[in-house]
Amino acid sequence: MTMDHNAFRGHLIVAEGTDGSGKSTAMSLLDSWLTAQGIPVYRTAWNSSSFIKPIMRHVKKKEWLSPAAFSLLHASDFYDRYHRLILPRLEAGYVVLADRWVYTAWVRDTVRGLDLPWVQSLYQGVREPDLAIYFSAPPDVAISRIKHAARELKYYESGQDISGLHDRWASFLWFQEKMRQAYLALADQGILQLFDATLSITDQQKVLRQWLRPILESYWQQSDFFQAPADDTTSSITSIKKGDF
Amino acid sequence: MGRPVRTVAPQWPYVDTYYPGLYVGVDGLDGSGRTTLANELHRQLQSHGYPSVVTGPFPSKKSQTQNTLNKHDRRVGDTSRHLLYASFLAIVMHEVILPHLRAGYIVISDRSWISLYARATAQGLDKNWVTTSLGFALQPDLVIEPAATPLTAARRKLAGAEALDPLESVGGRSQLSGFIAFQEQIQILLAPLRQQLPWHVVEDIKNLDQMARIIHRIEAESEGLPS
Repeated sequence: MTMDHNAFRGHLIVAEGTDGSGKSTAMSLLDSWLTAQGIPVYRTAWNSSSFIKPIMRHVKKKEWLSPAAFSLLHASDFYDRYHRLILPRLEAGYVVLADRWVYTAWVRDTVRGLDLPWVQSLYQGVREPDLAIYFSAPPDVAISRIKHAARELKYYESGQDISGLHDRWASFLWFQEKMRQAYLALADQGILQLFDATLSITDQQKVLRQWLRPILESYWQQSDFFQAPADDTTSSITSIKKGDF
Repeated sequence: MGRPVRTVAPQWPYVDTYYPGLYVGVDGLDGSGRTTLANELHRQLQSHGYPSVVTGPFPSKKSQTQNTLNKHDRRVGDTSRHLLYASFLAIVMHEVILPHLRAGYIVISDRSWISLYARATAQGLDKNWVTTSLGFALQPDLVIEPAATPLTAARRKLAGAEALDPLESVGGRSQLSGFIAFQEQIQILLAPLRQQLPWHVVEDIKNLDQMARIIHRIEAESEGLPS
């Protein structure tokens, strides 16, 4: 007997937005909320492939990335995580919380001067999210959050490779505003769902949990995700116990 | 003025539209002797007084080492690996090839976009997608290919390496027949490009007359280059 892949349908929830917009904090809290309810969750972040990371760090430090090289290297990172970490979990029925998805590439790479159809073609066939949220926050709010975290801005993060501005914070402000406009255009097209990221963290969670409810109903109707159905004794999933995770 | 910048995707947004140098791609089967030929061309061009430089597929020794660590990890998929190689070519293009072409050099690329395209497509990635992903890459003004059959390429490989590379083989076969099947696939992919681009096949780099003809062709192509 083979495992019924449709018993749990995986769901992909994506958070998009400029740096400092509060995506990571919100995703972390959603992760805790879902996990507490026994819902299987996997979190993934942009630019986090363990294979690509050392190469990414090396070439960024050298400041070698032209817009095309930047785009291709991040696509390489994405596909490593997509095929190896994300798709198997979606197929197995997990909720995947993605801190950035292909829209980050669409926005960043086009702000860097690349053609949108070319960037989109790199990601053709990639699964569309069940919910893609744009965390909308003005650049000055993002800057105050980053300053509060006492974090240094980096060369590419602040867009200094294209802005021509010597001052890193001024460049960051210029770059983030460009990206904000590109994100808002995607929200206008209905590709991203606009979310007010200037709300308090508590109010943000109230809204986000409400948005996630319809998506999660299938999980609440199911029995234990990690428990094989009583008549399915030969399924490979029987060897997985919740405590293993 | 000089030569127009021609990229795989028409009208890729480069700052310059012309360069005074000459871009030579050395492409062909795995194990055919591309690196040996590229270095020999470089040596002979320099001895004729031409400014030339050889570029490889990696932007630095460190990136090559880091890539080698991942190369045979079966967890890394073909798509991710191809995009990584494409990003390396984009770096080399931006940091080395274009600046040298602008300065009037003959740039000899030990593997242009053509070898990346052939390998990724032979590995099973969609041909059109692979071509699009390499849209930024410069079209060589001249392609030089070391002549080889899949079997002679395998013999060369085995002379210089402990074993054949599984990434240059069709899986599920013996090592040699898998390598030969993969190289046959590459030959099929290169065939139409030989008709579309200025292409020269080198039968034997030890044959001085042949090498002299190639140098002559490069000289003709690079007429007006500063020496």
